[in-house]
Amino acid sequence: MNLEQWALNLISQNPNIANNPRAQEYIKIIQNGDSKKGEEIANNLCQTYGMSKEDAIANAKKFFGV
Amino acid sequence: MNNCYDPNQQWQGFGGNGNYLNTNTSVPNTFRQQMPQPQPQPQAIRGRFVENPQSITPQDVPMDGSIGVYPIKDCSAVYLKAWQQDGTIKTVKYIPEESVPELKRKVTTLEDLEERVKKLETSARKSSKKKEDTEDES
Repeated sequence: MNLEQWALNLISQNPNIANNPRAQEYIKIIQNGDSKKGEEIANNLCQTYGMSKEDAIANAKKFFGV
Repeated sequence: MNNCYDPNQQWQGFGGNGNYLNTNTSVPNTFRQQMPQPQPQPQAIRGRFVENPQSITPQDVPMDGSIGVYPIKDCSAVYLKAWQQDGTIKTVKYIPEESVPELKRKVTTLEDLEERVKKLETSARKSSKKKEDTEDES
């Protein structure tokens, strides 16, 4: 099992994610490897939250401690 | 080997049904067998009162697929917001419609008109007859 699968399993098993239909849809997109759709959703999320792509990446890195 | 004591077995002595002391104390089997059924919890409405629609942030909108309800404090409108599959938020605005009492308008039918005409005719006849009578007298 590679790191990506491990991370996905970990996220999927989280009850907050497992009981969240929206999150389930996003996980499906990641699992399918639909990068175009994923990027589209990410851009929309950035726009909805009113932040730039760079800020979002920086926040994500900070959150995951990368 | 026979088991002399069974706590679940009802006493059947004296030819009775086991409820010989007081029939009122017996508990029906159907009642005993009933298990407490989990009651469906009423779904709580997510949201809050807001000063204006601009004060509703994306963080306010529930991410679990449910709809957030945001009434304006002066009750001028109610906003419903929900996250969409594509990462956008769908907003629906509801504006209250004040109920106006229905006017009690009477609809004039053809029969009503005919009745009115008849009344006018009879009153006209009466007045003309009176006129004739007074002329005759004089």
